Formats: sequence, structure tokens, C-alpha cells
Amino acid sequence: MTPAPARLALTWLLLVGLAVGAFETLYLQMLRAHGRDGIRTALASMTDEPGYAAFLREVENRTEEGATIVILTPRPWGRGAYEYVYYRAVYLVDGRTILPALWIGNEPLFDNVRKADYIAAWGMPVTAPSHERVWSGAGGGLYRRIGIPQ
Amino acid sequence: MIPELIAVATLLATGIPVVYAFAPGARGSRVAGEAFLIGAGLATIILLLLSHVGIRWSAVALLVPLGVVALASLLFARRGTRTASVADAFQGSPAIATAIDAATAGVFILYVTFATLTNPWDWDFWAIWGLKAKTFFAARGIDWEFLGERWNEFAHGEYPPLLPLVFDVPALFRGAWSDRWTAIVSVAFSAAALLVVRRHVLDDTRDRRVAALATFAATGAALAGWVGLADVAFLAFATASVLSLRRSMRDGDSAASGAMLLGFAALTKNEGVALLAIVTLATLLTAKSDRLQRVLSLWPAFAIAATWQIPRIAYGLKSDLFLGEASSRFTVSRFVEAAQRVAAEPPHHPYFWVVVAVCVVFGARWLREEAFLASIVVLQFLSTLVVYAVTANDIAWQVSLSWRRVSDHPALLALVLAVVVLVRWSRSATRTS
Repeated sequence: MTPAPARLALTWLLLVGLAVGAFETLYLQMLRAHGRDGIRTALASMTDEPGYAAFLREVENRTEEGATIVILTPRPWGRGAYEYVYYRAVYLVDGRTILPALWIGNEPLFDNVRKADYIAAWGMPVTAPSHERVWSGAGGGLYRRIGIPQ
Repeated sequence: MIPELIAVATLLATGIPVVYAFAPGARGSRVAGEAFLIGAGLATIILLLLSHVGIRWSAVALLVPLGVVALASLLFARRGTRTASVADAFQGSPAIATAIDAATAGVFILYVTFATLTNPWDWDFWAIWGLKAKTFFAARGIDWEFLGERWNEFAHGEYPPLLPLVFDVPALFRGAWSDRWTAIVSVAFSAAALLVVRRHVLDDTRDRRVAALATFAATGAALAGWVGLADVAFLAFATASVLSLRRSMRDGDSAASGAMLLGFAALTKNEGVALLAIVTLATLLTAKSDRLQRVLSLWPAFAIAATWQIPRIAYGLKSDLFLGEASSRFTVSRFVEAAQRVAAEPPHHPYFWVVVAVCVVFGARWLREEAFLASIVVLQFLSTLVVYAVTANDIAWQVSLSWRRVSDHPALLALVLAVVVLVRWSRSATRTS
């Protein structure tokens, strides 16, 4: 049997080992390397691609409460490409119904484009006889289906 | 930030009399930790029930029932059988314990700084947990149409709703949705987990220094950086419930508080529903007496879980994990592949897990006494492997995406187990020499 003093020493060593093993150094490293402002900028850029949040704000400002908006962007579905643009719009644009134009397996959703009141196109121009441009800027454009009441 | 702080304080204040009424053995920091968790759980139940009966959410509609529950618990606590606990005669230098606690507080402040620097940034916050909170707040109730909409599949309408509903509490106080200080709510769950672990280890080892070191070690999982995600809340509920049930099994106390917390874990993540099954099985396997009665005493957990699962099924929100589709994907080879992928992917804090394993090896003789806790830790790992084995995604991708985060779920229970058996091993030499 291990003598009592040796057991005690080993116990404390293991208890300290648990604390050291669990210590999260990430926050300390990040704060030392980048400072609060640096981390804030880095985290914010993880969330929003430059300009996209501003674009969505414009979309919200220029559409009516309850409007249906379909999201177009020249990206495929998969690993956060099209999904990012679509999901982020669902989160940031309040009081409107946001629809995808593309689905899993890159299935185009023409029905959604046809029935939406607006097309919000990010990173691509849209030319469609059924739609008129409402606004463009901030890396994208907003198009209204002709015939819907303004 | 003020509405978030008021929300946390309100949930804490609501929970305190409930803990005194239903957890007679709770003392010290465990009361504060469990009180916040129970307050958060009660707020969830109230918001769910308001939604079910068609009452529009408001601060008043939430606060009145919360106040009634708190007052009723206060009366019950006075009439209850709260017995005087063992005198708080702890060993170990208070100065050393205080120094370690100061270091823990330093890590906590560092984490709070990091978590609140900006809006919650994780994809799962704004695509799942935060999105649902924001949507429910806008509707002032559960928006079943949104949850059932095909194009919103990514938001996982079938996931249990506790975290979004708790995020809505400060929004109801403010009267508007704000991302900015949502992290305060996440941080409160982290703090609750630390407070609960500290007191359970202290009660078990009676040594302030050991409790302080264990609490420091608990920061690894409790302050893991999953800001705005349900994992931290689940970790807190799972840890508090299992430790409370362990205590009630050992001391013959009421299981009501532990069962409530277990039910709230099931309202937080699907892993909580799995935990409900795991705890039931562990109780059946390891309770020394009155097994059936012990299992039946878990009824509040099932009742709480049902407040979401029944309407979820009624509204047709399918969770493929619990349906035939997932079980049809289970094969032994997929289970083996999941185990191999997990073995190849380091968990969060791998050295912590190595030391946990060493502690358990030294204290192996005392694992029988901790069969309930040990079996739950093992079953949690096994259930994670089963989930990976039945995933509709590529197993390797799923493991690489989530294993670091998911490996934190049983970390605090494993920590308490490791510390308790290690200290018993250490003291057995003192007694025999």
C-alpha cells in the first residue's frame, strides 16, 4: 500500500492536475494578442460578412411589414455558402417572411421566386421583366415584383 | 444590460424558496446555483403554458405566476421538514481556499469580458437559439407556424425550447429584443454550474481547498465559450440534477428538486431527453433499495419534459433521433466508426480527461459507492456515440463539428466523480496507517 504522506502528495498533485488540465487559456491568449477591440472586431467579422448586415437593414427599411422576400446570391448550397446568406437574412430582417431561392442539393426554388413580393439579391444583379429595381447599393439590390401594391 | 441583470436576479429570487421547499439538504452555494436554474426552468414552463392557453406574453403575465410559485414555496418551506444539516465543520486552510477561489473569480471575470465583448457570434445562436427567441418574442408566444415551416428546418423547430424562452425573459422586461447582452444569461448558467459543483464537492470531501480546486477545474467546461448556445445551460441542468439526485439517493432525501432539474435539462436539449432515460436506467441499476419507488420519484422530470414533447408531437415537429428513421441507420459498424472517430478527435481539454482517468484508476475501489454517478457518466458517453452512429450526416464531419463541445457535457459529473473517489483513496491510507 502507498504510504499516507505519498498518497496525500499524489492526491494534491492530481487535484492540481485537474485544475491545470481544465484551464482555458484561449481568453487570456486572445486578450493579450489582440486586445478587447481586436477580439470584438474578429468576433463581429465571424458573424457578418462585410456589408451584409447593412444590406439587410436597407432591405428591411425599403419593404413593408409582412412582405415576402426571396434571397438570391451566386453561391451554391453547402457548408455555409448559400445557407449563410439565407439564414442570416431570416435572423436580421424583422417582420418579413424570408424565403430561400435554393435548397439542399442546389435545388432551385422557382416557386419561391415567383410568389415573393421582393427579390433581395446579394452580390449579383438581377434582370427580370417581372421585377423592377427598388434600390441597389451595399453590395446588392432590391427588386419589387411588378403589380404588387406599394 | 440592466434588463438582463434584472432577469437573472428575478429568476434567482424565484428559485430560492423553491429550493428551500424541495431540496432540504441544499446548503451554501448550491442554493444559489440551483435557485437560478429552477427559476429559469419555472419561467420556461410558465411561458410555455401561457402560449398553450393563448395568453400573450408580457412581463406581468410572467411575473405574477412566478411570484405565486415563489410565495407558495415559501409557505411550503416553512411547513416542510427542513432538517438541520451536519455542522459546517470543514477542514483545510480557508486562506488557501480563498486564494484558489480568487483565481476562479479571475477566470470567470476574464470569461465574462470575452463573452460580452460583442453580440453572440456563434452560427448556432443566430440560426437556432437566438433566432427562435427573437421570433417567439415578436409573436409574444411560441410561433408554431414558424417552427413547422419547411424553409425554417435549419432552426430545428423540434429542439426543446428552454434557452430561447429564458432569452425572452429580459426581452419582456425591456419590451424589445436585443442581442447585445444576451450573453449575460449564458454566463448566469455557467455561474450556476460552478456554484453547484463547489458545494457538492465541499459536502462530500469536507475540505475547502479540495472544493476550491474542483471549482477551478470546473471552469474548463462551465466557461467553455459556447456563448448563446444551449450546451452551457444543459451542462448546468444536467450536473445539478444528477448531483442532487445522487445526494437524495444517499441521504434518503426528497428527489423533487433533482427531478425538477432533470426535467428542465430535458427542456433544454435533446441530450436532456436522453439524460432522462439514462438517469432512470442508472437508478434502476444502482439504487440500493426501493428501486421502483426511486424511479417513480422522478415523475416531475417526465411531467416537465412532457410540456414540450406532447405539443411538439401534436404540431408534427419531428425529431428524427427518436423516430424510426434514425434507428434504421444504427448498425454495429457505424457505432464502431463513431467510436473510432471520437477516439481520434481530441475532446475539449484532453489533459483534464487524462487526469480524470488517473484519479478514477486510483479510486477504483470506491467506484462501487459511486455507481450511480459513474454509470451516468459512462452512459452519457455511450449515448453520444449512438447519436453519432445514427446521424444523417457523415459521421466524421459530425464528430469534427461537435465532439469538442459535446465532450464537455459529462465533464463536471466526471470531475466530481474523480475528486470524490480520489479523496476517499487518499483518506483510506490515513485511516489504515
